Amino acid sequence: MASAAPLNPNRFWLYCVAAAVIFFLILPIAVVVPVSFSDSKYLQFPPEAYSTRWYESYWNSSDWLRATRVSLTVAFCTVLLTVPLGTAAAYAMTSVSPRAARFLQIVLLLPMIVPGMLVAIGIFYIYIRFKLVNSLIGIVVAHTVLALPFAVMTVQAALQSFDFRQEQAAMSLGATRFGAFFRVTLPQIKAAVISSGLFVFIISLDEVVISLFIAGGENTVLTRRMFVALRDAVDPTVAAISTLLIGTTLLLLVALAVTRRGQRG
Amino acid sequence: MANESVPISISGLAKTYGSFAALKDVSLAVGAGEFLSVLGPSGSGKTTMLMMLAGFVGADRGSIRFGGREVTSLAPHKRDIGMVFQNYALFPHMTVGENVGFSLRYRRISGETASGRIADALKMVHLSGFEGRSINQLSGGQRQRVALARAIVFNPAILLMDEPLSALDKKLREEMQIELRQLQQRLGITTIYVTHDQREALSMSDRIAVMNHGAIEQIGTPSEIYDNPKSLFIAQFMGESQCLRIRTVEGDALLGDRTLRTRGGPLKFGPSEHAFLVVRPEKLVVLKPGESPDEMNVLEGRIASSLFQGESIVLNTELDTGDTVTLRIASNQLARCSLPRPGDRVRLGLHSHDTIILPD
Ligand SMILES: Nc1ncnc2c1ncn2[C@@H]1O[C@H](COP(=O)(O)OP(=O)(O)OP(=O)(O)O)[C@@H](O)[C@H]1O
Ligand SMILES: [Mg+2]
Repeated sequence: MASAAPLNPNRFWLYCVAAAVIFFLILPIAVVVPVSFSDSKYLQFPPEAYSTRWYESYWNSSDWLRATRVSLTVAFCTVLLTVPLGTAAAYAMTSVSPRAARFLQIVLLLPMIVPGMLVAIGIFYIYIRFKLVNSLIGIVVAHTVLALPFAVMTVQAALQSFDFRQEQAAMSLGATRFGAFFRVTLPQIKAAVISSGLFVFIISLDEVVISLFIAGGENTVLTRRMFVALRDAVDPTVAAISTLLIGTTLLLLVALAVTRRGQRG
Repeated sequence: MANESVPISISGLAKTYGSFAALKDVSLAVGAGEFLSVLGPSGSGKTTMLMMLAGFVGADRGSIRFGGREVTSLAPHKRDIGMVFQNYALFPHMTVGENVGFSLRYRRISGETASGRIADALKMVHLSGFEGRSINQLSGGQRQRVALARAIVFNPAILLMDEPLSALDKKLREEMQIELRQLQQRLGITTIYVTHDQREALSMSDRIAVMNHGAIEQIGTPSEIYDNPKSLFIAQFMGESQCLRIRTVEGDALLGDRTLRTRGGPLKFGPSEHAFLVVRPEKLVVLKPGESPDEMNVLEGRIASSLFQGESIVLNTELDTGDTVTLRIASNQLARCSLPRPGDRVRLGLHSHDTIILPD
């Protein structure tokens, strides 16, 4: 960690760019949060009067609450599906030949490389055929595809510094390969597995593009519901929900940072 | 307290990686309770053979038997082998006690019996009372001992070790060599010990197998391997050997125009075939003027340089034949008094029993 160095005048432009980046990153939050507490019926910035009426409007709308429930269910199920898959994939890549590992790596990272819209359209057409559009399972599977690369990379990083001779030692002592993994390897990459779960949760919760195509009807997720609300009428409830989502994500990120620290210590 | 110790017999074992033969047709018999060291240059297949014995690397051909049990395709966890790895491979998320006791749950030993066994094993490696320590708090030597305790706590019939002492400093390594050997003899456990350190192999083993290019080149007791190398490779690999090119004529070995006396009688070489005389620095002596004992070969030459090394003095000698040889003499008063100086002419003696002639 660098200690606070005195400002270097030669880096004036660097500081300007950094300030601009930070400004534009924070700007949306700085607008949305005050707007959510506005008393106005329109999206107004800065608000003239403050109230919590849009939070009440959210809380009293069964529609919004159902979308929230769907979003949380989807995120939770996506975590349950993605984390074991991602961990297994990361582990598999350490025990196959380097060539096979490179191939697997590329295949697993494809959803990250291909533009989200393309993935969404592809999934949409496949789902129509299998009648999975607007189904919970369909959304969870799609989100799993999207989140898997992140889970794999997180666990992979932890496995990189793991000494696999420990597994051999465990097997020589009587453990099966599974036993060795669960008693020796997993406890040592636990922090990475947990943080991959938090990461996946955030990705699923914030996902918009695929959800626009396949997460409607009964199973409309929050992000899609927000999109629709903004399209139909300007409703400051959306600002309130955005603020709640930002808060949730920040909490998860803090948890992520804490598990990361635990992993290193 | 150990299980009945068992012999190991390997026959025709082979392993190929792609087109590279890591192990070629290795056959080997290790007696019950024997300590066998495996020596060899890097890449000669030592670890591969050990990993096959442990079951982590499958055999392409051949078979492995532990006593009467055929284990060639048995899973590692069913082989009942104690293993010590070069980097110890201790489990850092467990305490010393949990590390040592890891194997016991698979043998349905728990509670008091287990704690007793763990304490016994730790006592054997002089780490009594270390059960609660974390692995990160241990020194290198202590980790080594924990790894050893973990490998013997379940009374395996066989112990495999891959360069277990190579990470320790010289002094600790020598201490551990003695301890390890004593423990091995007390437990009577059949042991295969891979090492890079020939001195370690010579001092600890009942027998040594020297590997080269995926095959066992020679196997024998330490003194057989050292004093009776079967090939130039073995001679050069063990000790500081110097190889002087000689001619062979009608069963005689000629260095320059002198016929060499050897232990084995007439040589079994064809006429004028090339061969080598293997000379070890400690086998040469400086002869007094006029002295020429019957059983000695005499090499004449001039001292090129002398080097003081503390416990011994090294003399580099240029022989009249053009070869150079190095001899090592103990650094004591008697030797120092009669020590030839650089430039002096000397006559060196090599006992016929120490005269090793090997084909090219
Ligand atoms: N999984 C593998 N894939 C391909 N080649 C391998 C593999 N494992 C070992 N080899 C090759 O087999 C040969 C023997 O390796 P091995 O590890 O047995 O040597 P070693 O005698 O233990 O060497 P060292 O003294 O350096 O430990 C080496 O040339 C190595 O490159
Ligand atoms: Mg090796």
